Amino acid sequence: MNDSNQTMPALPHLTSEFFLWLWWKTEEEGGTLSLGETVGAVTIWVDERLGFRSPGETKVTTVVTGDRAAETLEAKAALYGGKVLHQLRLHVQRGDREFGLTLQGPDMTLAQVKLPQVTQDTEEEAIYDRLFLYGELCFILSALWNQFAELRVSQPWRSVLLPSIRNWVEGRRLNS
Amino acid sequence: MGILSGAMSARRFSIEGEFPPDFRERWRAALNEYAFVDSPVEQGKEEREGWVQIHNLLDTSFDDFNRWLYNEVALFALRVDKKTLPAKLFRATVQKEVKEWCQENGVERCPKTQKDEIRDRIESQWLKRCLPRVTITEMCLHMTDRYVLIHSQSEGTLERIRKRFFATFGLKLIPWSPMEWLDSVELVEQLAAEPPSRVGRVEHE
Repeated sequence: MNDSNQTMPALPHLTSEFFLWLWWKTEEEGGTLSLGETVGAVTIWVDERLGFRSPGETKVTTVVTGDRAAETLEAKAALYGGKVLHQLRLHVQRGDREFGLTLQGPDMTLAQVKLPQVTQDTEEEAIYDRLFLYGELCFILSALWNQFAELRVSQPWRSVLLPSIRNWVEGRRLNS
Repeated sequence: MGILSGAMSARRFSIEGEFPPDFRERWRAALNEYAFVDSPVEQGKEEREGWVQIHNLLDTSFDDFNRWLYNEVALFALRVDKKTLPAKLFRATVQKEVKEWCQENGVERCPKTQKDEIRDRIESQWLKRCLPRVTITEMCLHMTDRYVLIHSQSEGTLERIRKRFFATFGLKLIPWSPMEWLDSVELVEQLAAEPPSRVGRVEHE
């Protein structure tokens, strides 16, 4: 990180594409992602809510909820129709710890974060545990964001990944 | 529900400004100075705000570090009190008293000054009887990583807290950007230069 990073807001299309990449990756790769030695393997799946907005707008105009929301035709149809992801509810598992969260907006706000249950004897210990777990979740998300960013600026994004994502949105597979 | 328990929906801010060498003692004094002061019975409709401990909104002293400072993390909350009157009932009561005044004085219309006097008297009486609506917004200040989490999604609340935070600590809260999570400046610059990808039938933005 650097001071110059701090003054640069993320462009709205970048976080929307990050959410889309996460959704695509969890479906195409079965949900278990390898995030290098420091983070290790994490299991991620899209949970019961996806919110879409029209490009250039800030308000969510299409919401798909319920069990297996990510697998519905409505969700893919929103993308196909040109809408972009604004909210993505995720379930994240690292080791025996499970997190729930909604990623939303250009600033990637973490909303409705459910941390693993902590059972400590004192209130102080519980506070330390919750802050540690919140930090762990940010650690995982930052590794995912970095992995996406590396891919997003690479040639394979345009030549391989983006065509795969488009085909996935349209319900087709490459070479099929 | 929030930082201590339940689901968290917090907005993140980066801290801009230098921490003084003796920041713990200074911040304790600053939190005490800007702590919530209990509302007097005669509080009007104006809002009152101040810092309270995260554990109990009635605890307004920050003398004991053990109650708000946890290693590299400070936890506290902003309490805002506001008295509001039931609008429809208030309006109906004023109308009734205005009508009674007209009957007692044998006139058809009540002068504006008289009507204002009636309204002010009723409002003042009712505000004394009414308890304030209390809102609490929890905050977490991470000293090492220099960020603040504010447990609110309301732009108005966030702006209020940013102002009070600056008044209290002399530090600015800058909306956090996910770009800060990127490992290198080169990657930030490369990513920021990337145009939107077309996925559906139309361009993203």
